[in-house]
Amino acid sequence: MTLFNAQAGERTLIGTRRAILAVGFIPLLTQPLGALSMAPVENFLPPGPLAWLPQSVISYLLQPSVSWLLTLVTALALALGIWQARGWGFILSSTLGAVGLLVHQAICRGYGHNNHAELGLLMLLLALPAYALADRWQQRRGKSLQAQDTLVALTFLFLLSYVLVGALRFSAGPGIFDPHNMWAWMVERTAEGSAGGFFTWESIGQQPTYAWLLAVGFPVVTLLELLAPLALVWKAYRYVFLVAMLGFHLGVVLFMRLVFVENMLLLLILLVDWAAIVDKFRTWRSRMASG
Amino acid sequence: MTNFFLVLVTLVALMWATPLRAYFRGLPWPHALVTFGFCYVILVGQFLGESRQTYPFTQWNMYCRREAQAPAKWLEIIGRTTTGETVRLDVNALQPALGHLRLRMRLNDLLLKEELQQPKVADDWLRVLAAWQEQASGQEFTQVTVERMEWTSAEEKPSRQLVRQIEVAP
Repeated sequence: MTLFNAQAGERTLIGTRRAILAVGFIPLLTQPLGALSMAPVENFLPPGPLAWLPQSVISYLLQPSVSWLLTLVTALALALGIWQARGWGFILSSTLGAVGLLVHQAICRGYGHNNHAELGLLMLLLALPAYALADRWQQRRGKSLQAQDTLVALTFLFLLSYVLVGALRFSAGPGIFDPHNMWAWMVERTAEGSAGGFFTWESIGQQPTYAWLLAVGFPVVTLLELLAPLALVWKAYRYVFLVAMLGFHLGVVLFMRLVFVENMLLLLILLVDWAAIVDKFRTWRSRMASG
Repeated sequence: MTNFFLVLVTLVALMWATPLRAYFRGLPWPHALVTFGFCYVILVGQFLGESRQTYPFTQWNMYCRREAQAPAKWLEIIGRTTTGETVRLDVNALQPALGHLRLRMRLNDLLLKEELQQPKVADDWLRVLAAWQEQASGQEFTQVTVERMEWTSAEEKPSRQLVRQIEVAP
């Protein structure tokens, strides 16, 4: 057992920072707030830190022009963070980008259910400047910087969210995995629409095989989630976890139109040895060039 | 409580992996402070179970609650146009910012229960949905109907029950 990213250098850290910030553009650009101008403001239930603000500030934030400004400032901050990727410029711009996206997503959630799709990303966006600040602190103390101090911690925090999903599901009891419940769950979610309208609730409901497949696969996926941090120290587990989770997220898109694209990308960013892939590609290219 | 012990046992067991234990032992204190700070707020969010208050650190309850042998229940929201055509109003597709079941779950809370909750709020949302559909398709609507669908098993037929019908100004 060896620790994943234990030998990672600054190049991997910078690349990871840039990639995580880039994922932030997905919810920002695909969930336009300006279009919510017709939503009934009196039904807005501010989540988290937004609830601490006076009602007048919240009403101001919900105006379409302010929403567009928020999106623009957040996009600029994320872009600046990607460009800088180190030093105080990165700390300030990534903090602004993280806070901007936090408010953006709070507005989306204020009108409805507090879903989980972007929460792993938000957590990592908030952690990025905090770890960069810790790096600066280390430098001031005259200590050398280790990329693994940040990379392993970021991956651990992200995988912790999978542990918590797994623990909560197992603690709910075996009824959660009952084939009838799987069937009912698939029918309800397919009624919301499947990707490309490929399945309908009638077609899913009349084919109990799908529910049986899910009833077999779901406990396995949940166990993999509960033990997610093993991916940091056990290479075989990392591959199995990655393939299983990507497959699970894709299945959820196909059957239930619940898109966890941010999580899929973050899994790839954090659990694939990109430095080794780039090195292999460079070696292959130089071999090809030299004939 | 089971949830708490399951998380505790899993995390303690994972620390048996020597590389992970060595990593945490060797972590410089500024990084350790950030890591444990984040772990603390993540775990508080999980165990407090008040996701709206603790956002963005919420409880990770993704498909973790369901009554045993409960039937499948969902809402069908249908708009009637000025030409008499009926159109299914796709809540998730109309506003991506309220997709991911965000608005759908809110409407379920309001309309899927046996007794109608906050009818004015529900009606406000149904009118807004009709207006959004009108913006998207150019069709004008006169009426929005909500039906509660219930399906017990594949061998039986699903049932359909009218729960709300409102007139909307075209």
